[in-house]
Amino acid sequence: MPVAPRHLAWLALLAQQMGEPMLVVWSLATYAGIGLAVGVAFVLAAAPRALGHAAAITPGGRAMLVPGAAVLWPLVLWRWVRQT
Amino acid sequence: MSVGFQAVQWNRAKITYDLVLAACVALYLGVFMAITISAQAPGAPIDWTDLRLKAFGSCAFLMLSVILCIGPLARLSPKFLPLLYNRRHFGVAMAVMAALHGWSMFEWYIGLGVLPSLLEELSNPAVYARFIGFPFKVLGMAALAILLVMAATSHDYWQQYLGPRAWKTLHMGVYVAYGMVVMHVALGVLQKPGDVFMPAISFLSLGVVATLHLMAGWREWGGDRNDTAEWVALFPPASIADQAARIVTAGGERIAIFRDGAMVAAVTNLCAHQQGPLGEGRVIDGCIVCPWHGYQYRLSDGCAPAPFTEKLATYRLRLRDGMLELDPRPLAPGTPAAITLPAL
Repeated sequence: MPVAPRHLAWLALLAQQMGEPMLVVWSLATYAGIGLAVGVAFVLAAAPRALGHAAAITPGGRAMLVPGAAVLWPLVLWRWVRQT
Repeated sequence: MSVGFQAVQWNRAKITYDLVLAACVALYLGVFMAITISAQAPGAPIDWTDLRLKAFGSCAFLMLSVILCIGPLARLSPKFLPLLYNRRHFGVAMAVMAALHGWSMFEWYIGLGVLPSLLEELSNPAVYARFIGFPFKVLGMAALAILLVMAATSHDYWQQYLGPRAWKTLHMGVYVAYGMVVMHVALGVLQKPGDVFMPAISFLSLGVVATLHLMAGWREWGGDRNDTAEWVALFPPASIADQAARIVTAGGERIAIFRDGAMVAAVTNLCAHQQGPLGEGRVIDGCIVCPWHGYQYRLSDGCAPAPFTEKLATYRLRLRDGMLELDPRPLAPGTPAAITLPAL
């Protein structure tokens, strides 16, 4: 295994203990899990005001936004925190 | 067009489009499975997971190829514009097919109890250095990830949230995904010789997609006018079909010259919504209608009718010796610039 930079040593240790494939799988699952939680919270609480003006969004429209918010959750969360 | 958001903005045309699309997909899957089963040796057991894997995969690939053909086809002939109007639903349906293909792959490995071998195959650095034996599945997974991100953000809300330019850039990723899918298919076939169908349709579709893009690009390049003079001579106004447009390039920008009866106006060819090709749209009730998602702008000043707020850059026009002339310097978005001509 290549030597990891010091600040990523924890990642190398984790990969050593879990195995690299499982680390990738768990990373993706963690990203998706956080994304789902952030996505649902965003569409329920912040989506109508996140465009800079009060936008009306129907319940069906909100449901359609969850996948996008889950995929883009780091950006969504960053902008949400900045806005509040 | 941005006052409120709903799940899907249905209308009769969209419902018809989606029903035809669903029927075509169901027909393809049925025919593919029937032909594959009938080609098997009598009495041989049917591997349903493998059958679904191939049916969904080939269907997604064909749908992606058709999606990429729609843009250039619509530029080459307005007959294909109806295919363009609801391309977003086509794209989401294709991503669903691709996801079903991906899921079938996992199902196949789980069914055989060899899922860990998939992880080992994908994480072995040595195989990435090979051509024959390259883990082609990783290309398919990367393409699927791009397609799913695009499908998840295929909503007007995300277009406004990200901004038109960033949204468009993100969705141009379809070409990256297509390249990966072509390589996924080609490398997969090289590892399983004997299958004729997938190589045939993959190389045929790649050829058709590339040829159509080159044809559309050649045609537009031939009509470009990169003049920077203050006034650029164009064509007689009567050469523009009523309630339609001709597209020119002047000052490095693509500009749509619309005619509605005796009124002629020049606006940017890029829709304020998703930068769709406005010049391929129509004028209905005094408004330019974008062919992609039906966004409307008044011909007289390029403003969307109330309560919507989008505006287009307009351009000055004049008539000299029976020819339209255009000032290629854009006016501020929403500036009235249409002219009314004497009877044509």
